[in-house]
Amino acid sequence: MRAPANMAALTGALIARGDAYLALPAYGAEGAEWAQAALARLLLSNARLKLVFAALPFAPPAFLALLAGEDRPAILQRIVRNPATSGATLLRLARQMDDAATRAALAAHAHTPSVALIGLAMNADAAVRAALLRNAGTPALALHALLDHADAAERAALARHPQADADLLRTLLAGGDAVVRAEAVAHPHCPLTQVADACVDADAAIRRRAASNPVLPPSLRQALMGDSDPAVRAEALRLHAEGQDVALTDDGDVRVRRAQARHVAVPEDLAEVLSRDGDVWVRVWLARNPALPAGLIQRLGGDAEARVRHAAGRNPACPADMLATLARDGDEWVRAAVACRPDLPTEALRALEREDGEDVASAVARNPQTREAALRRLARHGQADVRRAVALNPDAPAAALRLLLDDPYPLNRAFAVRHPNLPVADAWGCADDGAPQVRFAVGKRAVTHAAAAGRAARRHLETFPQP
Amino acid sequence: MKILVPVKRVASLDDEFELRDDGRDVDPDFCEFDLNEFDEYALEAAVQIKEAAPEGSVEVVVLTIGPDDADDVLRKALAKGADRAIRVDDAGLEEADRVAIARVIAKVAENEEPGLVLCGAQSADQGNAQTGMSVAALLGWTRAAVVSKLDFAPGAATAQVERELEGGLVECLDVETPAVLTIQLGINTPRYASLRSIKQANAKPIECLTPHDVGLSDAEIGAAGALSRVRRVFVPERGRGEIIAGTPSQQAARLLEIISEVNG
Amino acid sequence: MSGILILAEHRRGTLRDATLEAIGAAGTLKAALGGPVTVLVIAADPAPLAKAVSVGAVDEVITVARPDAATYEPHVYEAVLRSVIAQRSPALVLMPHGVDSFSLAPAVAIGEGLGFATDVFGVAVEDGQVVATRAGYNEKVFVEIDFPGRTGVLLTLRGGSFAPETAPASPAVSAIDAGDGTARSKHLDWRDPPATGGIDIPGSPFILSIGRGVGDEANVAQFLELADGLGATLGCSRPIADNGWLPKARQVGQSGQLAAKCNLYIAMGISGSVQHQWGMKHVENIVAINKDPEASIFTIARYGIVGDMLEIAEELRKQKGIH
Repeated sequence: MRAPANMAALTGALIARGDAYLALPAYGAEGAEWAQAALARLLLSNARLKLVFAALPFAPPAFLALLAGEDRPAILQRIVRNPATSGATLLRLARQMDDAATRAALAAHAHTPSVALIGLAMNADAAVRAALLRNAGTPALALHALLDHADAAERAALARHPQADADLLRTLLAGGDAVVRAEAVAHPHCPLTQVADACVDADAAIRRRAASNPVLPPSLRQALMGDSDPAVRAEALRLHAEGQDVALTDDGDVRVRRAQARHVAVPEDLAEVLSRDGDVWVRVWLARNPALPAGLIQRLGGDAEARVRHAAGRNPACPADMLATLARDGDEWVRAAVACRPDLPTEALRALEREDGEDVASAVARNPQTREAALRRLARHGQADVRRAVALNPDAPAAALRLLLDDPYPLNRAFAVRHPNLPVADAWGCADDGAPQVRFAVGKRAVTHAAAAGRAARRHLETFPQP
Repeated sequence: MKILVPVKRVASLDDEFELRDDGRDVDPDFCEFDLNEFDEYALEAAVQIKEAAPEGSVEVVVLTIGPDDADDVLRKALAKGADRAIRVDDAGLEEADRVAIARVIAKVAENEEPGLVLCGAQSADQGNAQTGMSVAALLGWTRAAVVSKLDFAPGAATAQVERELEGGLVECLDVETPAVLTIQLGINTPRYASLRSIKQANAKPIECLTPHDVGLSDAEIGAAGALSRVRRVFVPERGRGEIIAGTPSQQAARLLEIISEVNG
Repeated sequence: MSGILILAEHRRGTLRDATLEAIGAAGTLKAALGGPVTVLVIAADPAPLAKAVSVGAVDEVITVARPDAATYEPHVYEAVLRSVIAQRSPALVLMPHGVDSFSLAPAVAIGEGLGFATDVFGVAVEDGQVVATRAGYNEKVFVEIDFPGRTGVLLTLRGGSFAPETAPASPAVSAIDAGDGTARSKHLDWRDPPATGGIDIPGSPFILSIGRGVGDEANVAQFLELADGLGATLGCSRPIADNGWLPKARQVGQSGQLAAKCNLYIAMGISGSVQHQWGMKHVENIVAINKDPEASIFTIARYGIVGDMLEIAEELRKQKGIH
């Protein structure tokens, strides 16, 4: 069964098959415009499917625009909540639906245009206000409109909003509420003088939030790293950037030591001390710290705790000989940590290819360096998760992926169909699969392929214009 | 020997849904239908008994009661190892409750004479936990509910079972056969049907019968055979649970409270 | 045709609390349905249990002593209970909704032609008729059930729905012989749930689970740390295990583990796919934390937090002093 190579043939085939899941990805696709009406009839033929598609986040935005012409309120409400719905469709629905639930959904939607969000902020009810405060795209102008009637919780949310500007934060700080203040001083747009004041506040919670301000100047950060409260010291450390001129020193508090251990700027002598720390989480964080010298990663790779060795095995800076050592570890989860690494020495990977346990086997299945023979074997593994890992391998060869097309677990078939290394012709062979998610994936693959072929053909025409 | 596995096509609701115009159930447009998960375990238990017995000595018969849409769940069961499928059409059964449905199943069991009836412990949609044990009562057979382990050799006078009780306590017991057992989740790992077996299942016939065909009288069908009636369905006020508002610090504080409330 | 009959449920010599809840429910219905409130105790040695059920509105305790009732046996219980119902014709029969009543209640209701509903959490009496309320579709709807044409009704009651009655009372206690009935199953043994260790999603009562919202593998360790500090088992959704960020033994859902014994499930950054819900939707206390207020997980959660899991986790660590 050959997949139709051009969009016209494909669309014709999809309509002839009469399967809405298979045909859905074609709606609105380039080159399928001629068949739009026939596709629409097929996609709108079933009351249940209209409801399902209206909520489907993978539905083509053009199809959602079409579906927005339906009468049933339940369908329209789902479209307003669907993250794939375009701004234009949202605006159109906003004009025809004015119930409270729709307004709240519009206020929360990432694609609602700014001007509509500002409109919603005027005379907003509690649900709309909450949605606007959660929507990261709500513009500062709308936030200012919400300020007038904001209660304490809303003021705190305003102070946290990424679009809050310095003016808004200044007004909020003037209100004096401690919770609001704690939020405002952590905001990157907060005026620096106010942040500086917060760094010497009597309230440790305020100092801690100031310490979490991502644009805190190094001098203030250094001061907070000497704070009497360990939570403040740990927080100041967390965002301290590499290269800033501040010193990390030995600290008695375990929270601070854990924060130091995960810090990219941990100095070698301190790391040396931390690598012998009695707290296992200090050693876990340290072991996966990419700034750690090879020698210390080696030492932590020999730690008595498997969690620490696992972390060393996940460290991008882990040297090859240590990876090989960890590949022979007695703990399966430690071996699994290195089994998916493309930089694992070949010999060690070959040894792991023979393992059957599901964590190691699925890690090996994802490793781009794994041999085709091993991948073919893993594609028939007893555990569904291991078989799926083959489809998650970016370099999986078609021969291994084809085996997954007969997998009893539908999700595994869907993953195989989506894999770019599986020829479209093979994917098309699953067009009558029993699982809707697989048929949708087949339709998507075929449509993407035909659209790319169409673009290539047009480029060809442009390069060699006909007389 | 036959093992009868009655299965149900259950509905799961979309996140948002509407009620039917008569207010006595949910509008089916808002329902996704599938084979009851508990029944998958019952089916797997039956198929495992068949596979452990000499080839051809055990036949697994699946049965459902419903409209022709319900053929889907029978085909799924056939693909997972059932040998035969029967559907009793539900025309005239609109007012049936679980007991009235059990009357249909019991009649089929009388006709088929299985050595064992395995049902799911309950349905995933309504969770009455009535149907299987009602079948046993109507047949007058031995019964045990919520079976989490089953040892049975076809033809044996007893089956060894474990029942999972509240709090994880397990009771081990011997049960006389023939028996009706309801099967708990986790008793086994239900298989996924291979694509080959799905194709084979689609080619198999489904026996379609009516309640009269199986031998029920009018006095036992639908409302007449029921012990209850749904008067109305409504959506409870606390539909979405408690939303914990506030700043992350206030939300975390409330969450810690909940953790200590629940964990005591 | 009056009065309320309650079947006492007991196990290993101890009355189960659910029986006291049924007595509590009977107390609230007695005025509308009429007395007496009678408790039936079937046991090898009923005396101590008869004392335990002598509380609240109970007017009478009937005991049936049978050696074959040392443990619950559905066929023996059925014979005894049906014979008592046939003699007394109560308007309402109550028992706890539980694993034991599953195999008893249908046989008694069918045998005696009683109206029948299970897992009931609300009972009302309207014009002398019993109306029961239960839930359907995973608690998404409530269902009102009535019993046209039935003079007696049997209900099994959901645990925790009615206040247990504990105030001492002095009902009349009488011992009777009732029902023939022979046991058709034989109790062999009890087995207590095993103590658990290591990664045990199926056995854990408290699971903190993470999903895609965790964003990056580097963030995973802090959730191991957090779960440790909260006394929870760390679970995860499929994508996290697929990425190899956590072992398969921690994956909750279809093709993963069933959170079979879980009582508190905190889902952080998990949208709540059907596959994931398969493993946890039955848990009584679900807390969902997700940035997206439209995430499916909120529809099954008892508590919801719309927010960033990393921020909430950070706050939890600080407030618990875990950092």
